[in-house]
Amino acid sequence: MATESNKITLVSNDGAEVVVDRNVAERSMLIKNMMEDLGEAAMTQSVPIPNVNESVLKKVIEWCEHHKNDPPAAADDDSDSRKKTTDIEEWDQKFMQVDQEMLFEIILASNYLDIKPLLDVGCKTVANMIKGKSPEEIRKTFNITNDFTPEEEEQIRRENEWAEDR
Amino acid sequence: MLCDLPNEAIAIIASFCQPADLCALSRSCKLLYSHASPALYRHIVVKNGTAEYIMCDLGRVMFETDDGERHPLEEPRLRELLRQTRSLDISLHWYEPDFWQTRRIIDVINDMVNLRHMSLIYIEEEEYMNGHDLPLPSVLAETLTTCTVGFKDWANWSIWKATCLFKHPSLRQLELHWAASAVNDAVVDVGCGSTRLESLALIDCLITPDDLYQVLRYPRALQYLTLATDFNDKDMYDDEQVNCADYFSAIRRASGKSLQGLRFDVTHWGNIIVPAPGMHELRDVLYLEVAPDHIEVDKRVLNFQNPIPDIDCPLEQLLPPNLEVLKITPAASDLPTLWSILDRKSEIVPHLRKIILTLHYRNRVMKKELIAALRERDDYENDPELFEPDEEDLEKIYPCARKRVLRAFRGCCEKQGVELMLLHEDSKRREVFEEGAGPSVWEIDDQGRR
Repeated sequence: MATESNKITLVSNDGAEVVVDRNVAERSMLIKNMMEDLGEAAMTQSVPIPNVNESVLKKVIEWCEHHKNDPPAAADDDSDSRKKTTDIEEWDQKFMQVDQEMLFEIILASNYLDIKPLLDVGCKTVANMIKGKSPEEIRKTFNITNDFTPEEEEQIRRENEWAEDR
Repeated sequence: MLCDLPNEAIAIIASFCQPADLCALSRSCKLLYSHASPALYRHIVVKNGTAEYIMCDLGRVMFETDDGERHPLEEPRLRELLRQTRSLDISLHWYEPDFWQTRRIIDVINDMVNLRHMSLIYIEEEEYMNGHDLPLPSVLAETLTTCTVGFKDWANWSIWKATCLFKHPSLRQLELHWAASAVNDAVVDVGCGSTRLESLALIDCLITPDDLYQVLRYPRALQYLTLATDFNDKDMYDDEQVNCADYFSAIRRASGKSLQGLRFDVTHWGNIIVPAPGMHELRDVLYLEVAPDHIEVDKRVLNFQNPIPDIDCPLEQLLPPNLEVLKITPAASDLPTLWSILDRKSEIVPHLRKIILTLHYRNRVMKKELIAALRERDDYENDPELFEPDEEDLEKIYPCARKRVLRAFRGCCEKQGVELMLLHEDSKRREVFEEGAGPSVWEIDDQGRR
């Protein structure tokens, strides 16, 4: 197969066209399934990605490019499995050094595009931001409004007291 | 922002958070509470002996505790959270005078109706010689599939206390520690197998062949059985010698048609006779992990004061005839029994395709670490009569085949069409040797695939 036919064109929601290797784009299960459904037709026309803007799309593609040769993830272990690690490999750590807005955009995009490993890296990054913080510090970090009454908050504190020091 | 993320994403974030962080997260706002609290209750792991307090906290709303406070309004909500618990892994102190309190505490587990995995290990507070009672929750979740129950160190609880576990309809894996046959507990004839149990491990359990037979009759088709022990309390036993053939006969009668994997190491039972003829009756066993003493051709009694009984034990009675994989830690550095097995392979175990040798150390570094670990053991600190092991002693306690021997053995394996796999135990996992509870042959990754 000619090399050109292995490129596909993605269009972000702000109209930017991004040309990308098919095997890179297919890190996204959404795109992969779409390609399988459309067959050859998908190679000749551009693919709109309605939920993702240009800068985020490029960022996501940068990740896919770097991870294009990763082995496929092991069969999805169900949520009953033990506590997962929050270790992030070095390249991904650097990749995730972005402002919060971009971080959440990446999480949204990887969720929409169905790129599970990237979604995990994003969520681990957020989990690491939560680590060691008090409720008040969490609210401050993520700009969250406290919608509990003091009584409710106290009740929850008591409810989960058993796990506090672990 | 964080709260604008889709629910799936927030749930994933929560799954990566540690319990203390989930506590904080659940108090930050209502939306995050709805994700963080269930995640917090999903896996309850308390290994450091404070489980009592935690279980009390959990149970506080259900039961009156010291402060007499009750919060009836919270009860439905807590029940809802306990419904989220999928795995519970706790160790509790066991103290005879507090027995009824412990019972009440663990009844919190009754509300974990969707529990899949439960590990309940008791740690004895004060030495108690009269037989232990084992508190178990009075209601077990129907969803339970794996379960570990027992004591951490020496104890003596009647295996019949675990009847509710043997009868459990959906349990697939069961592991008991320090259970024993009790003189007073009459063995109940339970009728034929009906449970789904696939794997049973009796670790440090001392049970009679009769009890083993009864216990094995519960499962419809047990596939894996572990009988492994590593305690050296010879004073506990009468002079009666134990012949392993009775155990193999019990296994054959109860699970002979389904059992594929057997892990057998009872060399530390006081008067057990080694070797252990009778394994040739287990015709369906494909995987065997065995203590080397059990397949030595030289017979002896491990308690040397007793005379050697007159039992016949040719090599062909020491192994299951359809064996495919054998895992063994060689007892002598020149592997005598293994050579003879290979020599007579076509006659004794024609289907043997793999031998897994567990070796205690690979090089000087691992050897040094092992010596250091042996010296750190409590026994050596408490008992001045025990020697300080040096390298020479180590080679006696943990013989390790020399490279030259291994090379020759590998050549012999190849000639017989047997694959040789060497497992050098990582020094960090040394407990495998200390407790006799390491991974079974069917738990090794590339096992079980033909």
